[in-house]
Amino acid sequence: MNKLTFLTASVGLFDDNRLTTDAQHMQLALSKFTQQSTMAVFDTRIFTFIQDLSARLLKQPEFRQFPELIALGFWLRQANLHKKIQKGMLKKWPSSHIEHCNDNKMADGKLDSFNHKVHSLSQLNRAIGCVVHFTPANVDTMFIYSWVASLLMGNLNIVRVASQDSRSKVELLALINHLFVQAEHQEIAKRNVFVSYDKTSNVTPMLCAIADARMIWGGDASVAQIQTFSGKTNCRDFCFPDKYSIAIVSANTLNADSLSVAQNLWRDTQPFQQQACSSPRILYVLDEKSDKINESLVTLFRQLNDFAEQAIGDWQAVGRTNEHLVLMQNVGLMGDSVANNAVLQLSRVSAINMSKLDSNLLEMHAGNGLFFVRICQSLQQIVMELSACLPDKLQTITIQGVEESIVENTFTQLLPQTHFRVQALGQALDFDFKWDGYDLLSSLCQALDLPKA
Amino acid sequence: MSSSINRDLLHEYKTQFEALLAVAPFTLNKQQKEEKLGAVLTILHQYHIEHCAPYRKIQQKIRLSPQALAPNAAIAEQAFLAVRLFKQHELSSISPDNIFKVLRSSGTTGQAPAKVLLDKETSARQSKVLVNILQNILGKQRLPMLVIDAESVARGRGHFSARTAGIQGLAFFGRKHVYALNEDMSPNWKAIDEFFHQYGEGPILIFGFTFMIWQYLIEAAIREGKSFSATKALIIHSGGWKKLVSKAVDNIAFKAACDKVVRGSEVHNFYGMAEQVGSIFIECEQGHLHAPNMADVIIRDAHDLSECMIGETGLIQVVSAIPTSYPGHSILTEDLGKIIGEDDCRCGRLGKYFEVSGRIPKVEVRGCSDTHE
Repeated sequence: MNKLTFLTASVGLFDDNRLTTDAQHMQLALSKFTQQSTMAVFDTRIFTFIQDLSARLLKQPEFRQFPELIALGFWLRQANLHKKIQKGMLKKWPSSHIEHCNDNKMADGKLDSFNHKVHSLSQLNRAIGCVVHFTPANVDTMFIYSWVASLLMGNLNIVRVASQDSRSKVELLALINHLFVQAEHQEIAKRNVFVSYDKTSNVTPMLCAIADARMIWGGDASVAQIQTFSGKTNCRDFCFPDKYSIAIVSANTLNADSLSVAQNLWRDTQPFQQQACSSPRILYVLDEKSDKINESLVTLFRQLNDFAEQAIGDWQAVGRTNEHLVLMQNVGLMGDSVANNAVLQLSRVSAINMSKLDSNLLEMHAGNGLFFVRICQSLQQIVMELSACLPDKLQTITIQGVEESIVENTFTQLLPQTHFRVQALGQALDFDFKWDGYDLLSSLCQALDLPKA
Repeated sequence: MSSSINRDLLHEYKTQFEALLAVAPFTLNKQQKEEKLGAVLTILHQYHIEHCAPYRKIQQKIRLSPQALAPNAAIAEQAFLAVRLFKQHELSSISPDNIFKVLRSSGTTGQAPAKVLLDKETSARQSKVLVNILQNILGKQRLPMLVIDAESVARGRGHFSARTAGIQGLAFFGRKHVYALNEDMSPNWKAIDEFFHQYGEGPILIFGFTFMIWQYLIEAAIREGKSFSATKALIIHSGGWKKLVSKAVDNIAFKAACDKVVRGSEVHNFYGMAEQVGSIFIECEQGHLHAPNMADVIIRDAHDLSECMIGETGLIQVVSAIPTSYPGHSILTEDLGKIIGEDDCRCGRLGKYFEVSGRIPKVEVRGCSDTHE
């Protein structure tokens, strides 16, 4: 079945036809789409659109029940977006470009300086063309972030979203659609489409054939599957395979203020039911002289459970605790990874004290409100343990009560190949344009020749 | 663990089990059951701890309640295994030489079927308990029996499925067995007509899986305008309502339709697990499923697995006095239900009576994966 559903008004692609099953018709539409001009890098109309999107996410009451959409609204707000862009630009952008910007510096004000840099970069770079996004099914509003990165660089975008509908995704797409039909966002609407189709259809190879870049989210299997379809020879692939994340909290912090740890940990766990790659699944407690830590852990998980009890929507699903039981009994049956009486809590949020970790255990963990807890004496001990636990798949290290630079240094020294990131606890899902080893902004555009001085 | 202790444990178990079996199946009140069935379960727990290493590890490491290992733990405080463990692992408390039969559950789509290892003694106990319970409904006399399935399924050609186990278990209660379906699951009207013609004067027994009876007998008969009659037709069925939900068929609609197609019908559903064959929960004349002396149900809060009160819906845990060959005496199912009452059903049977309301909605177990859904 070649059923392609357009989830947003595909301006001019099909005459008022949201659904097409005809392969030729589809190909025609796609080639029409790719023939469009790209927008300028950092085109002001893009910023206008993003600010409109952000404002509505934060203002309209229907989004309030979806914390991941509110977080998105905040993330897209001008101040934060500029910060993220600057962080993304300064790290990897060729320094000559930035110097060039400085030469022409006109004003000292922060915004002016930002605008100026952005302006200069837009003069020196152009979009790469048509970017096709294959987005994950489980963390189903995350597609916005990589789309925004590509959008900022002026590209044409086709975003394939999973056919499974979650309410937050439906709400988000409805909002985008609402913006797309407005006159001021027509140039964006023309160049960005959101589609959905059955995975067994042959739409994927058709999209691969026209892509100048592919953003492939969704785990090892999906990446491998999509890469079986060849793209253009110069197509850039951005692959986001399976990753896992951890939290490291010092025993002192936990003993002193378990509530703040609980609040932060919950912020990282609540979105997507802990299924995002960035949500920590392992809680490391750094404890040099363990005495009352067990008590604090019991309190911590009781607090997390209270949050889960108050959360609405998917956190109330019947069956989650049974999944935890199945996993725990499997862990117990396997034997030596857990001490006797390892269960810290079995409820909406569950936790089990592990005596060690291995890759097998990590692969069994499917999110959903379960924590493997490890009490370790030193950062070195943690890194040594993780070096035997799919270190390539380590993504986000969230910390509280631990010095960031020490964590950075220890992990960099012992796991030099890993593209991990260190974030404050509570900021695990805070997207950066530098992600899984990619500098998304600079990689999603191409440099023009520098004008001769 | 010395073998003499093991023998003592098994001996003790058998004594207690026989004592339970010696009385009529629905005669123990709450307190008596707590005492007698509780004692059997405690021994079984200990027995499997000693004979099944995976079970021992699970119980040592994943202790669910502080009382779970206490010698006189109440039934609801005793340990339980998630039913999926039987699909994921081969859990055995016997040596491979003693495997008499391997029962495979039908298995939900996409899941591996459970493997339940039976030795001769456990298998024999299953039959005994089933007789004990069903005679309470069917009487001692063996009745002419119409099986709503094909003969090949009943004989287990191919493999020994839960359907086969069910039919073979029930076949004991009938005589002159007639199989109502052809190999292609079409009704063999000639055989069915003959059966009613020959035995319709007296009481008869009809058995099949709920869905099979509905689809291949009731619906087919209604479609073809056929009906039958008997003085008394005991229709026993099991297997769950899942496939009938989409057809909006519940117990009441099922009974009404049965009555239309088979005049003189008296319908009894029963609830049971492939992991606990024998100790079934049969529906009484009031329409309630009853826990016999040999088994019990505990309803657990789906969010923290604590015991629910009467009337609260939760996950159904089933316990059984039967299995020694595998550690399946206490299982948390993925079914939802609620206790309606205990010791006070108007049918006069003692013990808990309950209803099953469905299964846990499918949980999406996903990692950060699956672009392609």
